[in-house]
Amino acid sequence: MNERRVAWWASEEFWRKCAIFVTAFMAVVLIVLTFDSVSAITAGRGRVPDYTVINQRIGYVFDEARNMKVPSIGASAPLFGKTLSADEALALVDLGKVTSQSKNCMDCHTLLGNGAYYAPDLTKAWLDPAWGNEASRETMMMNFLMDPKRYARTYGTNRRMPNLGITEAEARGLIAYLKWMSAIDTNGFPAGFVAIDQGD
Amino acid sequence: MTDYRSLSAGQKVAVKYFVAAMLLFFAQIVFGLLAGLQFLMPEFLYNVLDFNITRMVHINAMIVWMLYGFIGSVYWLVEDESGVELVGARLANVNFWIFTTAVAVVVVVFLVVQSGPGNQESIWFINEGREYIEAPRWADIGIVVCVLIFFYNIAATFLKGHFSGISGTLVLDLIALAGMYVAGMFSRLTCPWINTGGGG
Repeated sequence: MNERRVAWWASEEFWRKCAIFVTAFMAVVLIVLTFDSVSAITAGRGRVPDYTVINQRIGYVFDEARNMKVPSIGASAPLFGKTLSADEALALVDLGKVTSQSKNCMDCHTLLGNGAYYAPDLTKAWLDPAWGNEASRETMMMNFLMDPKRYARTYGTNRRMPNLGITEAEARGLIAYLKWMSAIDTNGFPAGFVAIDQGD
Repeated sequence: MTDYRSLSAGQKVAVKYFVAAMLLFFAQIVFGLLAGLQFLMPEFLYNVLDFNITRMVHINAMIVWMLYGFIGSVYWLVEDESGVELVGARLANVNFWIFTTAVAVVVVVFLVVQSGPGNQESIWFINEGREYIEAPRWADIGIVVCVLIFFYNIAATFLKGHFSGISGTLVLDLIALAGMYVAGMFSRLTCPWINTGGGG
């Protein structure tokens, strides 16, 4: 064995410890960040509203101080004309979310920055001007979700949504899920979105 | 050229993983081309094999071939790096076939069943509908089990032989890899037991 001495900072031992320490430290950072994110995205805290927000009118207004559009929670405006309790609202939004997952919406659409851009971004879909006006919105969304071939809307792309066999209950859930999502403060994302005219 | 028979036990396992990685890479290209064609011709395979399915197979093939390539590379170098033979060559082979069978089943279900009703059964057995982690819940658990078996095999081999800086980092990162898939199984709305805020 060569007994030649090396400086402590050049030894294999030192760098082995460094590599293992840095990896272990970053693993701990990742775990902390995971739990911190879970806390930040919990409904009812900060920028993610409680599920009962679907009982209220969602606006989208420009905030001068932040220089971006932010959702505004307005007066009572029950979805499908029925005010829901906290449990009922959770169940309906949950049905919508599970439906959006089982129908794999995210591999064509984008939700909260996650997904594809083959079809429109759904983050603010509840506020999309394509639904005409406030009075026609719920009916148009129901018709479209349950029979997207017949009520096709392609935004000039010729890409049509396939018929995914969405039931009436699932469509109601999806609309509740989209209404709730539109009330999440997303720092103005998606950029340049113009909301349906609600007289805001 | 190296003769296959002259390879070590770990390297023979590695070759299996490399072959599977190449097949998956080929699938990624084929389904990427199909998805690309659907951008140009929106009616191509409309309501037969829609864009959300072709894109899902495309991006998941990418994730899984990289995982195979990574596992294969570790098996290729673990004996050189540790100075001893792979502890569980037979286990590594069994693990390979379990993992590969699971991947094949997931892909067949993606292509044939495609989507289900909006309930937890669809999430567990068809499609989880979340970008990059579309694999159904049963497969998530399978991936974690396979990664933990892989982790045991690698950690035990290094423990028997020589633990270097590279191996320390690698083994810690394997725990993080399993942890990442564990975290991917939870989602706020669908896990009421961790839903501390909001309507639940």
